[in-house]
Amino acid sequence: MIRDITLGQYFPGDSPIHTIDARIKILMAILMIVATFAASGWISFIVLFLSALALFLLSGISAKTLIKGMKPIVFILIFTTFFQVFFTRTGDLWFKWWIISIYSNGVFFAIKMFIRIIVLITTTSVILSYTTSPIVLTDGIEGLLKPLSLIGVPVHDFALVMSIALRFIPTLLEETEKITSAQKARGTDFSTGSLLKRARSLLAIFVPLLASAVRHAFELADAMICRGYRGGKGRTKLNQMKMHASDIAWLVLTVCVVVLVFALNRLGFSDVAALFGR
Amino acid sequence: MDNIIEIKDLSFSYRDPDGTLHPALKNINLSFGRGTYTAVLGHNGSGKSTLAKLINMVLTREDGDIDGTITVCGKDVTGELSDDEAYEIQRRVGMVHQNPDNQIVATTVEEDIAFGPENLGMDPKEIRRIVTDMLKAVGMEGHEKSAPHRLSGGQKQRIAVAGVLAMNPECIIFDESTAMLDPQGREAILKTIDELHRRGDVTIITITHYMNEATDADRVVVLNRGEVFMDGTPEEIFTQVEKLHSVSLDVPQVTELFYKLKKAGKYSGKLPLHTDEGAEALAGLLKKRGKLCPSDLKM
Amino acid sequence: MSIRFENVTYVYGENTPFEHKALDGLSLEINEGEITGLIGQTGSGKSTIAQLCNGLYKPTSGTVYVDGTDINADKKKKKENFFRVGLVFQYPEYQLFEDTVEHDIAYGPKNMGLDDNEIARRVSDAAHFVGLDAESLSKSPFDISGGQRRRAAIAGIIAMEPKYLILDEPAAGLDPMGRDDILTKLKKYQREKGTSVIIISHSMEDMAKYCDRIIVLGKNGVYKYGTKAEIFANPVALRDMGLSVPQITKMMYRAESLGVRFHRPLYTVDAAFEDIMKMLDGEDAK
Repeated sequence: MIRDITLGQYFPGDSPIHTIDARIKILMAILMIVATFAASGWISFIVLFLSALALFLLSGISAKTLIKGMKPIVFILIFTTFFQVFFTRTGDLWFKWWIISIYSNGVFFAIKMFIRIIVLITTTSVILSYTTSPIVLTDGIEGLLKPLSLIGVPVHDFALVMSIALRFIPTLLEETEKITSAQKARGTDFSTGSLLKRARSLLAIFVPLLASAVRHAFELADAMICRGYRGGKGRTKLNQMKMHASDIAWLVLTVCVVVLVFALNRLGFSDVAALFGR
Repeated sequence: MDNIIEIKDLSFSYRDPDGTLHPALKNINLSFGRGTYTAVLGHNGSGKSTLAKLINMVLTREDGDIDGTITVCGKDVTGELSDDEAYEIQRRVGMVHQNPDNQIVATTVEEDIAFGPENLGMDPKEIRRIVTDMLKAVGMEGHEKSAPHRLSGGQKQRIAVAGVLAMNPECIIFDESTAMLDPQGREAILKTIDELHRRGDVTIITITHYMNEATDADRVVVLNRGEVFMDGTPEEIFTQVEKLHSVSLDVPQVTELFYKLKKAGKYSGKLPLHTDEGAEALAGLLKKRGKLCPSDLKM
Repeated sequence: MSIRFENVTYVYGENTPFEHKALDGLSLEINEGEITGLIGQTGSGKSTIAQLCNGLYKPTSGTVYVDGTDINADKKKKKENFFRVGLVFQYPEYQLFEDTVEHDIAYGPKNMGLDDNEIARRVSDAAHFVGLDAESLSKSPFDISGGQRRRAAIAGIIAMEPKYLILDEPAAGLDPMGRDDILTKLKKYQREKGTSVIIISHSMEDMAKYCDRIIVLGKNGVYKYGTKAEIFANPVALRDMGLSVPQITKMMYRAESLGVRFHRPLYTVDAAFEDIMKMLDGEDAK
């Protein structure tokens, strides 16, 4: 059944990565993205690659899952690699045949770009989507944005809207499936006919679905009022997000990685490539 | 008796956006004692849900014309109430609705039950205790982290009950809460209601059109076309078979059978409502006529 | 002619972590020209069966025959089968979408490619069967009462004049008056049109009152097909399957333990009354 489709790709678990505070995780993901784009030297890339590998191994996510998750970007990977290798015209000429000439920098750039993309995808998906449920993620975003409520940004309402959406997506998916089946049983053809006809067929799903969503909304609003909802003011939370020492440690560790990446870029060790070239 | 809800000379008409009025309730006089269990029976359109929504202030003067008074916990809810007063009434009178999907707010069971207490600004530790207790009260322990959409209809509805109970209400109105459930789900909710009633500290009003859900109540109120048509104990109500039939309402099958026997002049006792009573009355009837030999008794 | 399941297995979400077997090697036959009740606990696969009958679902293994033809053999004839086996979903009122009730009822027949005269005839026939008057036909489906909406949705399927009409919980959520009204109309429709009607329901009382035959589904596809007398003869087995028998049948079995002897299983008030009257009068004759 359609309702069994999980949202995002969260894999429940209790690995060290799973248990990190969601707010810290979001910050870690941002820091890792920064580090990825900042890296230019070889040693920086090695540090980056090793950190991503460590995160992945700690998370307990299977390699199969990770590789499956990369599928959509395989094309981008091949494409960028191809461009870098064949169209870079700097550095030493390593190979020449007919109109194809491959220079050293092309290969280096390609390898760097490859690592950059792999690390980017691995860290964000391992830190965020694979190990954090969408609900916790919403809480994390709310937690991080909280200071903004001081200047009048409706952070709580935003978070509530997000979480109600998450709550109702499976319900609405199930309804969509049911309405689609019901209209099919009345002979609706969604796959053939003119564009106009097909658009009309979609109307047969869209109208009832909209009506249903509106009904859900009104009834839910009544139920929320009945249960004493008056906006975010004065509300407490069952599950307080608690920052542990280990969460801080993770953040510090990630900051170290970023610093290391920057430092190694600067320290001039970065041109190991040149050594390779000689 | 100390009444938690008192309704005096209440009439209500829905008002369309263009000003047309649709009468829904006429001249209702009812009161509900603390700790009692009342079933309000009636067809769709009899006004039973309207009544519930007025008590709980889901319907107000903005939605239609109100005449008369509804006093809930000593306050007239048809009058002008401050926000805080209205809020307090809604906390004291909880409501479980028909569609289980439309009253679950959160993405996990525990957070849904916590929704009410969170709104009341309770301490997280206290909320945790309430969540645990309420899950136990509805027999759903161990489902704290479950996602609502993975639960059955009956389970969802029990979570909704737990969510209302978590507000520590003095009265709970079940507005056709079993209508969308399968027999197992319905039974589970009825059992929950029964246990709540037995605890005795909460007033229960169930609104239903299932006759067999009304036989366990202390009192049955039948609404018809917006008016109180009958009011009494289940025995008093369901034995008036003809009167119920006149408004196309059913009686339990057993009662119906003995009513027919009575009309045929074969039975003169009290009309039974329950299976066991019926079986005993039948055995007694046959025994009296010598049709039941002790040797027939199955061991 | 019949709907026949041969060793049908249906698995939801095959090869996903949520794989779930709804039916496992089910074989059954539903005869033409009767009202058949399909009863079973939630999760017994009742709704799955309904969608297998008209071809919305394709069996994971096994074959579904309608009037002797494997409905999944020819992909091109899939649509034809939707019209042969009409399916009314649970809470069908939520699929109405046209601007008027009339147009909504005409939606199915239009998809069949019928001409306007024929469509008009079918719409008016169907509206007549479910008891919708001209005034409600011209209204928006969102402006009529819940009971009327339910009837309009059923009319939308009836207007396709299917040979088999399957209804998934047609009375769910209706009050007693609405429930009796719908079921009585369906029975009348079946008797007049000769259409085979299959009603999926949880209510043993309704089954006993309106159906000719009953199919009972257990958790593991175990089923029993028979007349009402055959089905209700074994209330213990029904209870074991998580189903309940009508209150009157329960009372009868309770009375038997008190020494009362009945000649046949009882499942309606009328039959019970008749038998008890005979038992009481029998004594007078002696």
